[in-house]
Amino acid sequence: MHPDAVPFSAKDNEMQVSPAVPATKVNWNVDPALWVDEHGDYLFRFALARVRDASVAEDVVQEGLLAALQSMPSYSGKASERTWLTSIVRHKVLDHFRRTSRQVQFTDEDLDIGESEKFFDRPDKWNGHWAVALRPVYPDSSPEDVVERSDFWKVLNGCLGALPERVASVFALREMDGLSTEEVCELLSLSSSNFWVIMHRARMQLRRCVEIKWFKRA
Amino acid sequence: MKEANVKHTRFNLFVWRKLPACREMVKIITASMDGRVSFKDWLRMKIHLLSCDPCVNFIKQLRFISGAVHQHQEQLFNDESLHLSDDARRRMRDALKSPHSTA
Repeated sequence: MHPDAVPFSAKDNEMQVSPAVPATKVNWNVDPALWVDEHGDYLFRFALARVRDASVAEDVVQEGLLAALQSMPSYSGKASERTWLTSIVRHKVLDHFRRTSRQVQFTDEDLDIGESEKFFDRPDKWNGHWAVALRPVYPDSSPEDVVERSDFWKVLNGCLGALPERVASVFALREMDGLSTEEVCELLSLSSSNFWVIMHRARMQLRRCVEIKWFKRA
Repeated sequence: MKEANVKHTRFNLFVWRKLPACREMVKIITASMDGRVSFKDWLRMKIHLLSCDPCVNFIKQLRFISGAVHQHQEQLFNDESLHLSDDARRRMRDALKSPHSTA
């Protein structure tokens, strides 16, 4: 243990034969002073991969570490320290998305899928089918092909960034955090019909953006 | 880049007349990415996809994007060159030093 570190509530329990808090409850191997150095960057990347903004990710990690400090007495030591901290930071990531999507209610604009109707407007008897010029093209690369392509990540980041913030939150919770439909609806107090509309909109907009900027690139 | 090919075979014409058009199908397809579609809709989707190249490309693009988002996430997570800024590191150390403050 770090020499400067005073274990949590050590003073209170010092020299007591039967401490008020059962000894098994306090994990003496946990040293918050080392968290930032040992797990900080790992937790930062964990958060960054979800919130995609460095300063937000830093805030989330800090919130998580402080919350961990408070809940240290209940840390049983069964999971590794890193796993325990990661699960706390994950909760803070969810809190972040809950906050950004709660700040304002979903607007009609977020729920508007009229934009995508233009794909299916045709003057001939096949109205309702893909307009010829807007038919989706065959995606000529697989996700594995583009792993090393920084130009592709720029495109994808740009397209994700172009989503309205609240729509992006729903998409991130579903696609990146892998929450189920029910979990996302509960977390954001969304009706399931609004969830479907928002996800539809997110996928339609992302798809079109990636198609124009990547699949149809010269 | 391969353009979508739409063949007006008798089977395809029958499907397009009898089943909901692509406008409705894309809604079923995006919903299928997030879990539940009814058996009836799933069947309609499968039959529609047999007759409609653009919708097949559409679903392939959606899967590509979904896969790419996950790859991207993994890439960020494994990128050791990404780290906390010195400023944030200092801020966190200070906050953790005074364990009984909640600030």
